[in-house]
Amino acid sequence: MIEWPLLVASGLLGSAHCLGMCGPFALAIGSAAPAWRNNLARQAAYSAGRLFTYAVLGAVAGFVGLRMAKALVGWTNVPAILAIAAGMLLVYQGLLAAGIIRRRGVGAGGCPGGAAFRALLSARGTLDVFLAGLFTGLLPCGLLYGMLALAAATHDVPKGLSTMVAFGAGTVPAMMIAGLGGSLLGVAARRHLHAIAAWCLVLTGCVSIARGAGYLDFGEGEPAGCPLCSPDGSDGH
Amino acid sequence: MMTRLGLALFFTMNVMVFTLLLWSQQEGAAADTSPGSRSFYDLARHACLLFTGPVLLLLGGPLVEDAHSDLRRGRLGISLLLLLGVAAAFGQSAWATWLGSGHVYFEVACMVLVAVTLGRWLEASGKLRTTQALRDLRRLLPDTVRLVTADGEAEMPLDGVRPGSVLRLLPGEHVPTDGRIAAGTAAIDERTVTGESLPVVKGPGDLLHSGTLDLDGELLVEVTAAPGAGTLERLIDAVAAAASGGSRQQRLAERVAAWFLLVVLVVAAGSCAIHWRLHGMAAGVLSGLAVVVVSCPCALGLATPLALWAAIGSAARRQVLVRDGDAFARLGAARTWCFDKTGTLTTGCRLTRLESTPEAAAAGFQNSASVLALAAALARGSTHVHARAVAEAASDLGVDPVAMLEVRTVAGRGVEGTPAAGRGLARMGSVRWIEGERPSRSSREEEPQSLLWYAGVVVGRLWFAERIRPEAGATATALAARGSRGIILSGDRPERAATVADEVGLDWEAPLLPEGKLARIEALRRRGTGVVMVGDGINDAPALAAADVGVALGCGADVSRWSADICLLRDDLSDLPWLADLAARTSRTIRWNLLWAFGYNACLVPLAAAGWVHPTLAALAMLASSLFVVTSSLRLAEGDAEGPIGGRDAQFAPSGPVTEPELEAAVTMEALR
Repeated sequence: MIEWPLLVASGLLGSAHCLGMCGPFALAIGSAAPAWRNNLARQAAYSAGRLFTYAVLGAVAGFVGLRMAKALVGWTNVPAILAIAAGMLLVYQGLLAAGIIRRRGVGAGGCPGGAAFRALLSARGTLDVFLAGLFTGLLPCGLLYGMLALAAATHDVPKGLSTMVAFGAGTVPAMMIAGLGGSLLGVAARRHLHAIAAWCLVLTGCVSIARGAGYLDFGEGEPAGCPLCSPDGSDGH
Repeated sequence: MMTRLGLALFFTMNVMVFTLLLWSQQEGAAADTSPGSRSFYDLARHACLLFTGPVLLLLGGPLVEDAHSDLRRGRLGISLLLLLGVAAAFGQSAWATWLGSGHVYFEVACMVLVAVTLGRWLEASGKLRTTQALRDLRRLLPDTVRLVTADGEAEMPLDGVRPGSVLRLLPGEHVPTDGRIAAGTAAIDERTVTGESLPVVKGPGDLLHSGTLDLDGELLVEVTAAPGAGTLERLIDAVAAAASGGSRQQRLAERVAAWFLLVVLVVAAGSCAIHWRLHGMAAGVLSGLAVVVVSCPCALGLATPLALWAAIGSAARRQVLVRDGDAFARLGAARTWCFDKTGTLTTGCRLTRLESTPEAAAAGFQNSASVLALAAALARGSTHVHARAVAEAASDLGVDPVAMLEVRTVAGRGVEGTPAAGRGLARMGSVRWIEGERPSRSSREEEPQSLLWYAGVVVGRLWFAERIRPEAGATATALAARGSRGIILSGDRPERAATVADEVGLDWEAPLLPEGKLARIEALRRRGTGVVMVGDGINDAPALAAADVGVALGCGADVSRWSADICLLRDDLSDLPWLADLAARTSRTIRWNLLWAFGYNACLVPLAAAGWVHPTLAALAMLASSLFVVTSSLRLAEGDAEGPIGGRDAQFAPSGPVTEPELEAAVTMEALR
């Protein structure tokens, strides 16, 4: 298992590139609460909602990984394949964020529930904001898919869940900062952070690929020695 | 609504996590009967039970109401089956939890409820989005008005206004309902109801249409139509009726959907009975429930109306008003486009040539420009198309009209007046009036012409040609590119029809009497290519009615007098190819939607009946199917719509997000349907 701190770091730094999509939500939440203390509570509720959804998705991914591993046992090493797939997705996301590769056109057509969703974001109650977070957690996001694939690679429900919680926890600070103060950092600093975030994603992806490849090579045995892998997490298959 | 759904989703997610833990425990250690494992099982089950309760309370209510209303009307609806399935799944699971053994299906009860609610919400929200354009129009009407009475002035809701009430209207306000100006003068922007882009100045006694905009004057308006019966409301109602009413395709789809429902009920009951007998009650309930869930809400019934509404709404946003959904559907396939000439392809006149006669020099005119200066001065006194063309030509060429003492119109003949610095009367008008009964037979006699007469002699000859709408040529080209044939059917002389036809690039047939036009359209229709007639809303009414699709320009504000199926409120021919494309895209979308709905049901209903689809997966599949149909239809509502309503012109874009009460109302409506 990739160490939790690295997952948190991916979330922490990776979320900087996600602010483009989720930042406006945080701002919308803040706009309904002028007092910063109230805003803080709302931002926390929003992040809690997102985190909850990530946790459930992680559990589902862990279960799917488990089922696949059992169904395809002896045929291929599912966790390894999943880890490699997750790594590739993360590297792709990282390269996208770093501007090395470009995406052609942006999908996301009309979202039929968009308007009602906006109403939730600017609603007064903290509960509504929590629910808005719950729904936002379901928004399509490449980084999320990568992390979910990683969670599936754990082929275990509690571990999948905690993978996503660790990643989600990492995204909290950036969203809080975005929602609370607009930006505390200058443009140049943000650009640097953005670049670091992108390469951090690429690094996480590479680690995941390396781990997956290690599993593939060594089959049922111990994984290859990898400096970034935690020995206690690698319970192998 | 959203809060309720969100909370239910939250509790369902909790149930899912505990269910997944249970499942993974079963996967990992089927034979694990240690005390630790048993207590974990118990804990997870009780947690599921705890979290399922709120979901049932939050989302079960509407389903119970729905089922109840079905039962009261003596119908067996899908809601009742869903309710039975959910109740059975929950009852069995609660019993198993109480006993501490046996399978639990809490996640089935939760997922089915959430998915069904989400599906209905999606459907209602899609319908709301597709009718957004019409609601935008309705939002032009203010909520409150300023009522003027003997006691003074009071603000009151629009609904309280009666015919005869007097309202004060301030600059920048929309006219709340039809009325007559009692006092004041103002420039009125009428483009929402007549399409006319230039403001019209109106004063005491003039009629105001609801939804038009008072640009600059304070007015006292005597109400002539009760709120809801004004021009704009009648216009909206007509389009709404076309969208929701009698499209043949739609009726067919509804009939098919009704039969389909019956089939689903039978299949669900059969599958439930067979699985119950073979594998026990739980298997029976699960398979029956999966069949019902997978096919509800039925994408088959949703496919046609959503796409049609979206397209008609999109057209309304561009001020193309569709009054007949069937005609709109036929438009996409039509391959013969007939055009009326005067007023449709052409608009007004232009001065093509001015010749000063040899006598002009003797009368004191140095050149043609000085002749035009006199003509332009006379033209000011008339509103005839030729007079307007002369005035326009003079202003285009920078020729100042000479000063006149007085100018008067001679009905049916022309205009006459006396120049301030001149030697007597000047006249401009028909050849017959000026030269008597003996019009000179020039080579250009087929072109309309006027004569300018001054001090006893003809000093100038003016020739006119019809002004072809600037977008006519591009429209003809665009229609030809779509594989359509365009023909001018004109009552005018052959030479004039030919001139216009050559310039625009269409075939022509002339001269045709009104009956001749009808016969021609009938003949073209018999060839089976689908005939569209584009004409003037009033003069061409019979031809418009005879064609497969009648498209009119110049419909006027009164919708009850429209004779066409589709009305171009902006009088812009370039809306035609756009409209034809929209109609074709709509037909395509409907076909795809139906194909999808049919394929989806044909694949998944048998699988569910065979017991191979878990109800949780069935719920997800159903949501995906609804989402596909809704989004593919909504794509018709967005895109290149431009025009005064929505889009670029901020003044006419009061569009806001769908509000919570609107959505609530739509969902309730849906439940009652």
